[in-house]
Order: sequence, then C-alpha cells, then structure tokens
Amino acid sequence: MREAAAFGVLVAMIAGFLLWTSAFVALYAVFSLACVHDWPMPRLLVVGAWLVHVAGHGALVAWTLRWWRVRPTDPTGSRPFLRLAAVTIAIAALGATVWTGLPVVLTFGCS
Amino acid sequence: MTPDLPEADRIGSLEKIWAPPKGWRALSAVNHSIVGRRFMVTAFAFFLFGGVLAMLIRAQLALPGNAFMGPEAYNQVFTMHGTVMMFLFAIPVIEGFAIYMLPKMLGARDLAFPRLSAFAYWCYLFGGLIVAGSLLLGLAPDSGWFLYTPLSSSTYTPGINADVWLIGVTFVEVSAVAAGVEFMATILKVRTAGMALNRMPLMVWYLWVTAAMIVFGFPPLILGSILLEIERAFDWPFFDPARGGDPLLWQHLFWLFGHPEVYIIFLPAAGIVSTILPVLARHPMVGYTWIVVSVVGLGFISFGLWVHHMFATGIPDLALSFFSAASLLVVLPTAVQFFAWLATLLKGRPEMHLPMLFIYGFFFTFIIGGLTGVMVAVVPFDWQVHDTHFVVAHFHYVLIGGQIFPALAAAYYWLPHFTGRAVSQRLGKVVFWLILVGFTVTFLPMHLTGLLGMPRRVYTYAEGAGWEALNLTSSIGGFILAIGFALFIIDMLVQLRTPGQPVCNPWRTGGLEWAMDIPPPAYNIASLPWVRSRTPGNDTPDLTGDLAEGRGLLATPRNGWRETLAVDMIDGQPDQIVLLPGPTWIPLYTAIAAAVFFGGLLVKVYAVAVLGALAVLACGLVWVWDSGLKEDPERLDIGCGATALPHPAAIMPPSLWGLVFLLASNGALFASLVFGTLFLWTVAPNWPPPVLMGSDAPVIVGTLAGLVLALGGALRALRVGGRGHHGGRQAWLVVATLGGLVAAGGFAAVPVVLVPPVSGHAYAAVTAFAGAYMVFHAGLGAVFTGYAFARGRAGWLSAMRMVEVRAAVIWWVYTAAAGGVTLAVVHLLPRVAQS
Repeated sequence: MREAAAFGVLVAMIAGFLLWTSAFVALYAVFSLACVHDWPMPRLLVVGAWLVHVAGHGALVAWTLRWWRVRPTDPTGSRPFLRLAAVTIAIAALGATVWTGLPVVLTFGCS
Repeated sequence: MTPDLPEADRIGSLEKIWAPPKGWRALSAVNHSIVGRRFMVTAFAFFLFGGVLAMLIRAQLALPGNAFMGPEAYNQVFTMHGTVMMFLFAIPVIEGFAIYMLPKMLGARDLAFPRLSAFAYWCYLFGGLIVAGSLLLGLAPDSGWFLYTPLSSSTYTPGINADVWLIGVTFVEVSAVAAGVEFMATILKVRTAGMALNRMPLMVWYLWVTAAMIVFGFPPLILGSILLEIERAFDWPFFDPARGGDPLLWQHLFWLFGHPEVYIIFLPAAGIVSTILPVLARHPMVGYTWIVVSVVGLGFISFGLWVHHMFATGIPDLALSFFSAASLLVVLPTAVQFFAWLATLLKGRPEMHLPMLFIYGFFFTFIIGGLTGVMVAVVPFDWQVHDTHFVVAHFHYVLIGGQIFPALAAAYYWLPHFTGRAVSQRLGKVVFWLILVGFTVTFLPMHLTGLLGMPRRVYTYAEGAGWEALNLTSSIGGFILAIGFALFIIDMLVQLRTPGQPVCNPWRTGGLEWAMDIPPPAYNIASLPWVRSRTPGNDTPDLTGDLAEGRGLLATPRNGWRETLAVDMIDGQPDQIVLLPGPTWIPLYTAIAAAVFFGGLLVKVYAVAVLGALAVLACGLVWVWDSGLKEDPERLDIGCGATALPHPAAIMPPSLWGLVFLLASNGALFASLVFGTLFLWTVAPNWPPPVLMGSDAPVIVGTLAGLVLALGGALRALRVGGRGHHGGRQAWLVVATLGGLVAAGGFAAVPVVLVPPVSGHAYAAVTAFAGAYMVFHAGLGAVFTGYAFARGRAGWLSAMRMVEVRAAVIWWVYTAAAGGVTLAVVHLLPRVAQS
C-alpha cells in the first residue's frame, strides 16, 4: 500500500494535465459525435463538456492550494516541491483547458 | 559505512562479480555501459547512412531536370532518409545515451532490467538491418516515412517495400517501448539513497517524461502498422473506403505517434542543455520546479497536436481549432525553459567552452524552427505551405536544431567519460562553424523555396520555376554540412585514440556521473552515496574518493550478487536491494526468435512466424525462471545502519512496476483500437455495415465467467498464499488458469465463428481483430497463472515471495478490464449504433 500511496502522490502532482487530457478528448469526441449524428443543440453539448471540465479544474486548483498550505515537516524534503509542482500544474492546466476550448464559445459550425 | 574488507579485496570482488565477458562471449553482456555504447555507436552508423541518403537527395535536386536519379529510386531514398533518421537514429541515440548515463546520474550500478536493455538493443539492430538492408536490394519502402494509405496499400504498392517498413519499424518500436518501460521503472525505483524526487537531476526528469511519452506514444503506430500489414497480407479492409475503411484512420494513428515523437526527440536534448548550461555558466539552474512543470506540461500537450499534421484533410474547422489552439499553447512550456536558460546565463559567469558553443547554436537554430512552428500551427497559413519545402525547412530546424546541436554539445561534454582525458577543443570549433554554416545555407533558403511553391517529395522540377538558385544553394550548404560531420567523426576518432592528460571531473560539476573513476568500471561506483542535494559532488570535498574507498552503501559484496538499491519513489529512502543479473545469452536468443517471427511475416511464410512466436514465448519463460530466491531472506545490512530486503521478497519490486508500465503502454494500444473502432463507426464511408455479427448470449456469459474466474482466482491465490496456505494458493492458480482458457475460448469465437467474412467490411475486420487481441491477452494470462503454479511447485514461492502471483494479478486486472470494454464494443456497440 505504501508503494501505491507514493504513486498516488505522483499522480496527484500531474492531475491537472490528466484533466486537460480528458477535456481535450471530450471536446473532440462530443463535437464529432454531435455533428455526425445530428444531435440536438450540439453547441450546448460541447460547451457543456468544456464547462464541466473547467469546473473540475477549478476544484482541483482549490484542492491543491489547500494541500500546498499544509506546513511541511521537512522543508528540504520532497513534499514542498511536490505541492508547488501540483499547484502550478493545476493552474497551468486550467489555463490550457480554457484556451483550448475557447473556440467553441467564439464560434460554432459542424462543417 | 566503514567497509569490513580491505579495499583491495573489496574492489577485487566487485571487479570479479561485474566483469564483462570477453571475446565472442561479449555478445552476452548486459551491463548498461556496454549496451548504451552499442546503442549510440549503432545509431551513429545509421545517422551516417541517413546522411548519405540526404546527400543523394540534395545532389538530385541541385539542378532542374536532373537525371541523376529516377522517380523510383528517389522515392526509396527520401522515404529511407526520413525513416532512418527518425526511427533508427533520433530515438535510439537517446535510448543509448539514457542507458549509459541514467544509472550513473542516479547513483546506481545498473538499470532495473539489464537483460531488457540488451534485448532492446538486439531488436533495434535486427529491425534496423531489415529496414536499411532493403535499400541494397532495391526493395526499400517508397511511400514516404509516414507510409500514407492508400498509396501504401497492396493495390498501389504491391511488392514488399511497404511490408519492410511496417515490419522493420515495428521491430524497432518493440525496442523503444522496452527501453521506455525500463527507464520509467528505473527512475522511479532504482536510485541511490536520499535521492528524493526534488533532488533528481533535471536530466532525469526530462528522461522520465520522454520515457512516458515513448510508452504512451508508440502504441498507436504499432497498432496502425499491425492493421495495415494485416490489410496488405490478408485483405482485411481497415483503410479501404470502398469496404468501410478509412485512410484517415491511418493518419490519425500515425500522427498520434508522430507528433509526440518530435518532443520525444526534443526533450532529452533540452535536458542536455539544462545539464550542461548551468555547469558552464557556473550557476545553478534557475527555476528547477518551473522546468519540471514545463516538461510535464510539454509531455501532455504534445499529445494534443497530432491533427496539425492533418489540417488539409477536410476535418471540420472547429475541430481544427482545438488542435491549432493546442499547437500554439505548446509554445508556453518551451518558452519557460528558454527563459530559465537565459536567466541562468545572466546570473552566472558563462565560460565559452566547446559544448557551450553548440548550445548557442541550438538557441539560434531551434528558435527559428519554433517560430515557423507557430506559423504552421495557424490553419490558414498551414494550408498555404502544406506539402511544400517550407515544411521541410521547418522540421529540419526543429530536429537538427533541437536535437543535433545539443547532441554534439553532449558528445564533447561527456567525451572525458569515455576517454578519461580532457577534451581537445580546437578541431571541434571548426566542426561547429562548418555545421552551423552548412545547416543555415541548406535550410534557411528552403523556407523561400517552399513559399515559392516547390512541393515536397518530387524527384525533379522544370527549369524556369524560380527554384533553381535556391535549390543549388541548399545543395551546396548540404555538402558543407556533410563536411562538418565528417570532421566531427575524425575529431572523435582522434580524441578516442590520442593519449592525453588524465582527468577526474573536467567541468568541475557536482553531478553523480562524475563521482566515479572515468572511464567508469563495470559496477560504476564501489559504494553508493546517501545524497542530500541535487549536486552531491559539491557537498563532499572528495566524494569520488570516499565512494571508491567504500564509505557509502552496499560497499561490501556478498554471495557474488550484483547489488544496487531501490528506494521509495517519493522520498528516496532505501527499501530494497535489487539483485541484478549477470551476462546471459537469453536476450540475444529472444531477439533472434523475434527476428524469426518478423522475418516469417515479411516473407509471408506464416508457419515460420508461428515458430518464431513460440520460440519468443519459450525464451521468455526461460528468461524469468532464473530470477528469484528459493528461501525467505532476512533484512540485510546496506551500510549507514540501514537494512533492506532483497527485491524478490519485496511487495512491489521494480519488475512489477515494469509490468505496470508495460500494461499502460498496452492500454494505449487498446485505447487506440477503441478509438479506431469508434472512428470507423462515426466517420468512415459505407457504414453501417451490410451484415452485423449474430448475438450469442452463451458466448458472452461464458467469456464473462472466464474473466471473473481468472481474475478472482488470481486474487484469491494472492490472498491465501500471503497467509502461507501453499495448497490453497496452488488450487486457486489452477482455477485462474482454467478461467483464462475459458475467456480465451469465448473471445476466439468472435473472429472464428461470429463475425461475417472479414474481407467484406471494416466492421468485421476490426471486430475480429478486437477478439483476437483478447484471445492473446487471456491466453497469456493463463500462461501467467500457469507459470506461477509451476514456480510454486518448484519451491520458488512462499508467503513472503509472491512476485509471480502479484504479476498474474496485475495482468488479469488489465485483461479483465480490457475484456469488459471489448465485450461492450463488440456486442453492444453495433446494437446501440443501429438504434
């Protein structure tokens, strides 16, 4: 279990970009399926998928900030580094998802 | 730790235990320094081969209407140039560098799986020889290095040229994935004590992200290659639009690999810059955490760019905008690194040694390649220059600027590691200027050639198009570039052979790779340090001497074991002693068996291919049988008052992490298959298929039952085995094996009985393939549990030693999950899609 927990810490560090990956796949997949199958209100579906992910990113940023604020027992150990990296990645990934999905707010068309 | 043996005895024992085999037995060596050197030398030989092909291309294009080469030969030459440079040089040279350098930077004595790196080398060599040798026979691939369908289909490329690419490159990719898995497991676990994540050298972070990208990025192309080879050999129409296939599926699978590939090449080179630059700037690297974050970011975002190679394929505009946005986004993490490098230079006192010259060359060239990359990331601009020489100029600026200049810096920086002597910098400066000038004269005008409309992949052009002077200039530059590389070879040979002043740490750096005798002994370091910073060499006045005298960990050899440490992956606390294997022929035999398999496929003698596959399986079983202990070990002293268990008794030894990462790679292949299936259902022409697979509830129930029995049996075997119930463990392993066979039988019914004729429609082909994929995994799962059973009978297992059972559980967790998804895709998706 100790190994799994350690690996979990590593995954938490990169969680922001894992969520960005999910957002990117969701945007492309929902857009493609909605357009090909003539689903009703395709733009709403794509924007919805985007907003759900942006909200998820927001929650992740909040969680990593709380983690970051925990006082480290060893200031020279790995925890301060991991927390700073996790917060930075979470914020960067939030920006990445907002930027990547911005076109669906500005314009829409299945052609 | 104070060593309890006299130094001479201790060093003598280490040398005896780690002695590399001599003469023809040297082929059985698995030591990382030897394998790494072989990789780098072979990669450089292929680089020269690819360079000669480049010279042929430039000779042909120097003049309009040139009759030097005809179109058939030219097609083979430019295809082989790209293929050789990307698959046989750019990636393998990184692997070779990492195999040689990683353990030294991590303070370890070898990689986690020395036999796997030896196997990776042989696969690379054999696959490379298949690809390169084909040119001598006039049978080389000729459809471009991306082998687009339908040009590469059997209709338009009927010979074996395309098969050579598909089979040879896949063989090489097996090597790359093996190396990627090895690097991931090694970096996470096989470090010296105290090397927490925040104390890892930046180069190690770069290599870890690169390894992860190889592990996740190569499988889409491996899948694509398998599908295309099956289409060519057996007429399963995955990419034939007349029968429900789609050529765009090939492009998606290729570029899902192809774009991350660019960053797989760039990131280690950037790691080299982040290693050398602070040393020669005499200032610690600015922004360690920011660089780690940006490298991780690059690793992810580079997977969201693949469609920017497909902007001209008719994909809807809004979808293009996602990829265009991601393509622009990737500039940010790259810029973070550039600003960190500039800040380090500004805060330090840079010394203009030869490696620094090449780093400045990297800055100059890569920036231009990056800027033109931003230009082609913008869809309307890309449409204008698509398939022109502008793109050729752009990617050469990225690849040569982004990899070759840092690689040359690395060659001069780490040369003392191989010679034990200081570098002579005189000839190197001439090399630098020849290469920089030759490169610029070749590729800078090529942007204009492209903007003037000259397309790529044409063997000649008519006079009067306005491209003559530019092409002649590029060709002259190409030959200057070639002279530069020839001089580099001469310089290296001279420096390797000329006696000179011995040195220990020529660049005065605190990195662990210099805290050893150079050239390093086979065991790297006589004892392992307990590090407390990123530059341990700066913390201790004579770290090299201390370690050589045994004032470190694992100083005293025991039982003839090759020992190194495994640590907690976050904090670097020692938690296992890894017992490494010595020289063995099994990696070479396994690679030969794999060569028989691939060779049988290539010449289409499938009985030979089957024999090769069985031989690979047999070699694999022999390979793993030798590992482990037959008695429960106690915790052993490692020095400094610390103890650790030998890895066969650990809960998660590095080998199981290797399996996890291998399955992650396999999962990427499976995800690509699911993507491909959904893509065909959604986008491909001539869907829905005329005939669907019949519904067969008993098959579904039987398959599910088999999966549940196999996974449940393996889990129960682990649980009761952990309590020491030998008989119960063996019984549950039998149950799991039988469950695996039942599941394999259930999945086999899909391609054998249930699907309509596979040549009729891509639906039947992809469904049959999904079934066959699961037959392979469930069958191999049965082998896993059967093997664990045999190990138990032979006395290798106990409540403490359960590695084989854990491996079976890990395998079955993956197989059961993939099996569930496959059942849904195969049996439910057609019903849902039709409704």
